[in-house]
Amino acid sequence: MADSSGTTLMDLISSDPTSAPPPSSTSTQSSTASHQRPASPFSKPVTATTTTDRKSKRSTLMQIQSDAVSAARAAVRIPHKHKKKPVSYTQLARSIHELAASSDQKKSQRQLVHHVFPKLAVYNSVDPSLAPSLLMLGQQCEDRTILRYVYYYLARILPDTGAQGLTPGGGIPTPNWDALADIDAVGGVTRADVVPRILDRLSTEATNSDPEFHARRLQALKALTYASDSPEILQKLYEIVFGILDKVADTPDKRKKGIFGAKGGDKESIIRSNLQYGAISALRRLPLDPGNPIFLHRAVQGVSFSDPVAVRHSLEIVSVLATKDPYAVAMALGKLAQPGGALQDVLHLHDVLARVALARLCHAISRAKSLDERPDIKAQFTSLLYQLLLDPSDRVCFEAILCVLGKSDAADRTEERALGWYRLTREVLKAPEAPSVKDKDKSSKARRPQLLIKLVMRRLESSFRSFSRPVLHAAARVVQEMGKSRAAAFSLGVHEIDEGGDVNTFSENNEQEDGKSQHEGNKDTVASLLASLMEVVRTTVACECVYVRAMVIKALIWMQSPQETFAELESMIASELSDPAWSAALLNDILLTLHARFKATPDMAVTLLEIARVFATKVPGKIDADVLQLLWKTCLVGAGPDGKHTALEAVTIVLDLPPPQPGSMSGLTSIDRVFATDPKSALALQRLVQAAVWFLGENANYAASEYAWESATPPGTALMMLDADKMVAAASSRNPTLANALTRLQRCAFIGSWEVRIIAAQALTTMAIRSGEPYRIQIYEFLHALAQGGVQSQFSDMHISNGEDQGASGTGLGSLLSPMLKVLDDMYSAQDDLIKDMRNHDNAQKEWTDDELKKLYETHERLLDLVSLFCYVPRSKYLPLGPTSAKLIDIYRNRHNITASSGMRDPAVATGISELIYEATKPAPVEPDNLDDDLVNAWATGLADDGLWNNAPAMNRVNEFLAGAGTDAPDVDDENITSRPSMSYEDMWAKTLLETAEADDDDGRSSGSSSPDSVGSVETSISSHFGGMNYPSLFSSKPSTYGSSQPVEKSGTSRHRKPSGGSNSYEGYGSPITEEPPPYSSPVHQRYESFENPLAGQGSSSFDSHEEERSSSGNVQSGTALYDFTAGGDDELNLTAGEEVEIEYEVDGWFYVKKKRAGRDGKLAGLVPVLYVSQS
Amino acid sequence: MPRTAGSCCFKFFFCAIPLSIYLPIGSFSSSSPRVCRSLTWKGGQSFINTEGIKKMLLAVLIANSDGNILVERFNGVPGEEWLHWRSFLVKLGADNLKGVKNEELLVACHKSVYIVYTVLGHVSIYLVGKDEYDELALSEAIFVVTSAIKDVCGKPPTERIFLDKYGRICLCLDEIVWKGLLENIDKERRQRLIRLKPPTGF
Repeated sequence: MADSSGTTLMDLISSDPTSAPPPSSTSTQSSTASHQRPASPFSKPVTATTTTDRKSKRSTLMQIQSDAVSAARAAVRIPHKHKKKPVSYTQLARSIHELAASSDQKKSQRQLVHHVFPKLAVYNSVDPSLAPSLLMLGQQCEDRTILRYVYYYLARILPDTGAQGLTPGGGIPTPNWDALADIDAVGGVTRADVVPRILDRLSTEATNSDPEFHARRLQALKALTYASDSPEILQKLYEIVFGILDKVADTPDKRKKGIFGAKGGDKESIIRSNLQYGAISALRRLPLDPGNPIFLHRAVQGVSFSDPVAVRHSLEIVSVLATKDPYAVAMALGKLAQPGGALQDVLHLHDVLARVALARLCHAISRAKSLDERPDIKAQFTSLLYQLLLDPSDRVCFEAILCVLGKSDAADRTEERALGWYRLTREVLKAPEAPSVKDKDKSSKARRPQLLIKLVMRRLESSFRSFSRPVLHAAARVVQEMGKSRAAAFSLGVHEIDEGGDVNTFSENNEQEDGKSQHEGNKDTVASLLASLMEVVRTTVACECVYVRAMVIKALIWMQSPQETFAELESMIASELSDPAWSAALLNDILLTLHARFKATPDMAVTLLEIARVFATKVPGKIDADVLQLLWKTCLVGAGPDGKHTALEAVTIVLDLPPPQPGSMSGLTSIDRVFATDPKSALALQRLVQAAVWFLGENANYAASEYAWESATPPGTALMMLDADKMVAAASSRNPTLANALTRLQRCAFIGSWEVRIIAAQALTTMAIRSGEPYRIQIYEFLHALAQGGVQSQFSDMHISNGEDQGASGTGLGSLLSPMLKVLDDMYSAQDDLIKDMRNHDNAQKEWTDDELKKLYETHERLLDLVSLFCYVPRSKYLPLGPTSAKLIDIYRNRHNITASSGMRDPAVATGISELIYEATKPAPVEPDNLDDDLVNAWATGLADDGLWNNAPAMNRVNEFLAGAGTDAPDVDDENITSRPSMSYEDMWAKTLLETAEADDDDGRSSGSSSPDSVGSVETSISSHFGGMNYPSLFSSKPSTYGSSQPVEKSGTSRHRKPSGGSNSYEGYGSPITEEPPPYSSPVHQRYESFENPLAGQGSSSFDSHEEERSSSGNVQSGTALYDFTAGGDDELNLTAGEEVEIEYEVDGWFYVKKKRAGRDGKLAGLVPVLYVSQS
Repeated sequence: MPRTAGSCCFKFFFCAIPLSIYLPIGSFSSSSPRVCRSLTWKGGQSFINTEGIKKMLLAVLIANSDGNILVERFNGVPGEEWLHWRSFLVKLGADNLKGVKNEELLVACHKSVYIVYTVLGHVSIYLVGKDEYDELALSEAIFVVTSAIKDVCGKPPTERIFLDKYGRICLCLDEIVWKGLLENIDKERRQRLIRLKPPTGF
């Protein structure tokens, strides 16, 4: 900063401010002045106050002034040691006090203008103790520059900006009045003391009708608007403004004088024009009053004022009012819109923003439904709007294009957008009749009607050739908006949207009225015009500004249609992303654009996934994994039955990528090569791979439409008898999607990193549980072999070692896999037992007794509980004992009035009350029998309207983006992220395994709370189980929400509601949630579960709910410990096999138990896994 | 940034201020700006209609070539966001303004907020706006600001000239941007107003 030769900001304030008058003499003088002159700032009577008030105010102010001055006098007695002294704020303040007292002297005035005021401006606020002196200057001083400064500083004192008293100001923070401690100690001047005086003074001046005073009047009015926060001042301001307008607005001058700086008119009309300007400008800063006819009347009058700035403000006010009440505005404007009216004059006004406001006004009125019966008015405004397309200013032209396209500030309506595209491609611009034009030959060419689309395309193409980056950016933005309208038109199937037709035919139809023909022989189609434009747009990617490039890519994404090949776009994005200049914010913005594009055209799911893939591979470290995963999911669902396979493939392509090759530059432009040369990116890529693996496990069944509980074609026994290889072949031909996913996961279970392998094993278990045969047995076999470590040799060819020690078993997954295998073992052995029992019963031809059924049902429930620990399954449908058990289970349920969803844990069942209730009195919950793809699709496409979206950060981000929000300050401080709500990105149709989320406090990590690793960050104790892996496990030492459906049981019927289309929304812990969502669409359950994790951010609330539940159920069960259990966390309890405990309640597969005697660790109560305790 | 300079000797005051008030670029995080939280319009702005707020010229910021902020005017931006904006803008300038010609306009955007910035002599000028004040409107506005500075300083300013004319520049800015809206763009009019003359003379 220090410029040795020049003056710096510091030098400015540190140089000697004034050769201030000798302290003693000045202070004496000022003191005398302030005491002797009653005419000091406070002498002028305030008209609205009583004499008593005046006196008291005057005395108070005089007191303040004299206090301040005497303090200053005291302060300046300090002898100055140096000749050349740096200036402090204190000194400046003192100088003002002193110079104010001698402001009639030229020397003082010079000091103020050249030294004191400019230096004071450096500070970013003005302290109230200066106000008395400023007011005094305003009262006494004649110098215009000083007065201008006085108004400037008074205006800066007025805004109430909170405790700091800081107003947006200069570069140096004011010393927070501490510098003036000596003054304050005496005077104690506060804002509350001075602001009323300032306001009084300014109000008085603003109402002063003296023509000579009107310049000051305008400044006073301007300064007053800075205090319009307060309702009283607001009221006063309205009175003043309308008071001025009452006097000057009713005789509008013709604008022809003085618009372009040409002076003219008499003094009176100029003063009137100035006052009109001042009043309208002030009115623009005040809140609008849409229902007030006087407000509208005055604003409309302003359109005819001679002052161009006043016209601009009037148009801005009117254009906002027109969005609220277009009919009233149109009526009020009346003749102004007609040819030759004031609005036509605005077209030629020099002020760009005035013409922008005109475009908005025309748009609001020409699209108003309330004016449908007045097509003439609408036509006038439409014509004006179209004329603005020819405006020389890009700003105005682009605004007009956006208006034609149907863009609005508020939420965009698809219909309006679609109509906008239709208008753009079909309508023509007819130049208005110009009666004054005499030379008809000359004008005939200019007045030839032109198709809007051609006009717009030409304009945009020329803008894209501009060298100005803002113009390029804006033009790309307009193309993006065009793409949005086009997408809307296609999605609504607007009539005659065919882009292959010759556009000239439209203009011909219109021209026939004029009897002219414009056909030039060449066939212009919308498609060809667009192609030509897009060619220019693409070349803009070469712009060196990354922001322009980002906007161009967004435009290209929006202009991409599902039918077109996207290879070019994809490769363009791929090469762009290789540029390290791209910031994370920009990349995520594009990712969000993909979301928006998907929402507009669900058919593009696969295309968008392919594009998203590029982000995953190229810039894994920069993108928001949450948003990417959300895109995967929305696209997977949106892809529809036919595209699901492709969609899943697009996601899992991430898994097929070879590990990043550090230093290798060969893959820079290839899409399928990983670009993660730095450790951070490599880590991010690994997390993304984990997320993909997890995603695959969770959604493969959905994508493949393969569920154990509704297998469309149950495999024959013969298939089960085949040997493994043949079985795999048969399975893969039966459902290639699932087989493909299986293969990928199996591969990941071997070749991934430690974390990936674990997730792959978990994903495989999920698939095994959810899939029918032969997939389950296939996975079982694989897991079994994996646990033994024997299969690895088979995969050695494809194994790419990452150099890790993979443990004794070869994969290091042995301990993790055994419980998984155990649950499958249990299921298979229970199925065997059931078959045996059934055979026995059949052979003996005897009925099943109630006890036998009970035993069977208990086994069913136990297995269901066990399975639910691993992943979500629909309890009412899932049959761990196989399809053959369905009948018997139903018999038992019906006999004992057990609802399928709550099972044995229903308190009514547990206490036997259910037996006493008539079946009819218990309304059976209606459950969807099949996975309703349409419903899921509908939800997916309408996600933004669903309350569920609001709960997840990723969804919030997407929603915010879709809504066009975004005034957030750019972040440079990561700690702010901790304020993010801790939620997963849970959605409608698939069970999320790992939804616990904690405020993301790790800067280096992706901010995703839904990505698997985000749980890892909070589940610190997991490391004790799994050698430090930072990943949630099925058996984590906390009652995690992992794969549990327990809350469904616990939540009780009060939380259960029927699913009702896409309208079910989650509003809070106690809000209605679906009892039985479609299979795989149980976010509500999971969302609730995620709240129940005591480690998650909402832990306290979740415990509250448990407490409630406990007190409501009130039945404490006893149980016996089956095995030894070692506590892994503070809230867990050590158990010894055989120990008796009291089970207080259950949470997510964990019992909260109480021992009868404290153990060696001294703990009496805590959490233990459900499996470790048998209930008695 | 409360400071207790009252009891300090002048020398200390001289030394202390630059350390705390200037915002050297080096102290900023090198990471790209990230979205942290939504900006909610608060702090005395509740009375303003949404439309008015949305169309604001959110910030005018002038910094020297080292990234020290000389002038800043925020409108409708909560105080707690200022630091973010300062850092973001100064970093933007540090990254992109090297070797840029005088008054060549550069553009950036953050969500739906637009930024247009340029360099003029030894100072860089940043304008932030939204909606109505999009990149092109900001270009118009920045043109007005740069011409005003050139008018006041007589040429593209060095930092010294800029600071010499600091008070006048502040008055000009006051006439150009009034409560977040572009006001007087005409040079003659502006010059009249900063001399407390009516916008149109007799």
